This record gives sequence, C-alpha cells and structure tokens, in this order.
Amino acid sequence: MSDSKLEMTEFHWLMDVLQNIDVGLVVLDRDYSIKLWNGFMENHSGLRPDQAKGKNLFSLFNEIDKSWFQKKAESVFLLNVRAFTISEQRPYLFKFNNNHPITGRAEFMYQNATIIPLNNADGSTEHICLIVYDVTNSAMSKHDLLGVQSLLGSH
Amino acid sequence: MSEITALTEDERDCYQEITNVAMGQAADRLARLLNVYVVLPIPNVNIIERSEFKMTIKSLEDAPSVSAVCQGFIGAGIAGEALLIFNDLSFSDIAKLLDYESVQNSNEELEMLMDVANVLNGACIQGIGKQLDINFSQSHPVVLGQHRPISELLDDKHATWERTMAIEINYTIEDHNVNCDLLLLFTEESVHHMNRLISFLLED
Repeated sequence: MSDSKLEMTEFHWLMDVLQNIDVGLVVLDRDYSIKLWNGFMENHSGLRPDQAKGKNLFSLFNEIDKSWFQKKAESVFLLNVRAFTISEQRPYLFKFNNNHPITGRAEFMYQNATIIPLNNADGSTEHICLIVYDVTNSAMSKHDLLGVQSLLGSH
Repeated sequence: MSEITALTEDERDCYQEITNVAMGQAADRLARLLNVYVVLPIPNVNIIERSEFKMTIKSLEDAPSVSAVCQGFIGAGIAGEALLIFNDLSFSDIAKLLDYESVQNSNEELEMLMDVANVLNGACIQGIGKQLDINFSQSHPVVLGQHRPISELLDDKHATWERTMAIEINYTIEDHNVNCDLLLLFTEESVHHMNRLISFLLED
C-alpha cells in the first residue's frame, strides 16, 4: 500500500474507533453548540448526530447546570488546560440511563468527564472536547463500601 | 407510554425468528472456534414482571451453584442486557473445549467464563442488531457472581424496572456436558420501539 493510501486507511480506522468507543465524545464551539457527537452519545441520549449537531448543549440537556459548566469550560478555552468533573462531585453530566437496566441498581449512569482544549493551527482554542466516561460500577462499589463502613463504625 | 403486558402471537413469532437467525450465526461462530456442534433450541420469548423474574431464572437452571456474566447493550432507543448463566458443573467440560489445559484457580475460570460469554453475547446481540438495522454499543461485561446459588446473583430489591421482555436461549453442545443459558432482557421502553420495528417486517 502506498503511504497516502495507508494514511487514508488509518484515518478510517481512527474514525471507526472514535465512533464505536465506549466513551462519550462531544466537540463544542465557543457558543456551546455541538459540533461532533459520537456513537456512545447517540446511543445513550437517543439523539442522532443530525439532531444534535449545531444545537446548543444547554438547550438540549437542561440537566446540565449552565453557569457551573461554563465556568469550567471557560478556563479550558482561556488557559488551554484540561478540566475534570468526577462523579462524587456531580453524579452525572448527562442524565443517561444505567447501562445495565435490568441487573443494575443505579437509576442513572454515573459519569466522570474531562474537557480538553482543541487547538487551532495558531494555538488559539476555539473548540473544546467533552469526554464522558461511564463510572457506574465503581460508583456503586464505593457506595456499597461506604455503607458497610458506616455499619461497622456504628458498632 | 402504555404498558406492555403481553405480546401478540405474531410479535412473539417474529422475535423468535429474529433470535433464531442471530443464534444460528452465534452457533456457527462457536462451532468454527471450538470445532463442535452446538445444539440450537427454540428460543423462549416472554414478558416477565419483576416479581416473577427470580422464579423464571431459577426455573432455567436448577444447579446448586452457578456463575453469571451480564453485559449491557444500547442503540437506537433499544436498551437491554445479555445475561449468561453457567451451570458450575459444566466448568471442566468447557475448559476442555476451550483448550485450557487445566483450570486451577478462580482467575482462570473467570477468564474462560468471559471468553465464552463474549462469543455468545456478542454474536447474538450483533446478529439481532443487524436484522433490525441497529448498531448496538456493548458495555463492559460485569461478573454478577461466581459459584453462588442463583438467588444470590440478583438484587431485585433495588431494581428500577417493572417488566422486561426476556428471550431465553439454552445452549448445549453435543457430546459435551456443557449447559448454559443466555437471557436477553429488553427494557419495557425498548419493547415499544422494537414492536414498531418488527411491524414493518410483519407487514409483508
């Protein structure tokens, strides 16, 4: 295979990986409108990319506290550093159903999220990428552990 | 949304047929992988209430202790879980089949359990998805428990659902003492969507 052909194939692989990875990926612009919506987000939100792209994040998902999220995201835009949210701090960003709807005990999907800056060629940050992880299992284990610890402590 | 308490005859037939095709594909892959003949039963499709769930699962497998793996799947408004329950008595035979020389500790057993669960769950879910034109995303498998009585595997006190559509498939492998049950459990909401999807199939 020639180099350019290989590059094309690699590009396709990469796209496939991003589409199918079990992690949510959302690209947002300066006005918080959605620019990219991967398979994880599509499947769990029930919104197809054509229904999500171009829409404002906060108008589609009113469970996201706008001022709280903006404060976090603005630092990413300005300082060009990552920002994180963890499920202990806020159980979820998007209110999705638990990925184990039958055997699971959690009512919703616990999420960790990372916001990373996406740089332009000139180094400025016009877009950010929101990465959403499903951490329901570890959140539930922690919850159980705390329950047992408090039981032990009270005796 | 209205409650779904039962399926019509046609709907049940359709789900059975779709599962049959998916299972056939799963069995084909398994046969190639292990070089064995997989016996395909007729899948059982039912709407199950939460209160009946444990009883149903108990009736599937009367072994004193079982191991189970579950895996969530979701796509196009359809969500559910694939639950694979292994009779613990089958372990040594599965080990033989999969060429695990000797299974010595629970870690290796788990490895084996996951391998089989992956083939059966994955092929079946993707097979169903293909027929309904849905690309399901599958979550990480979760081990519900190893070597425990079946009643301890599931916690139905904290369950958040009322009823589920269950497709039960009992896999057996010819000439081997291997017996496992695959349960595909769909949420009630998903059944609404799926009924709509199969209504197109039923039209012609």
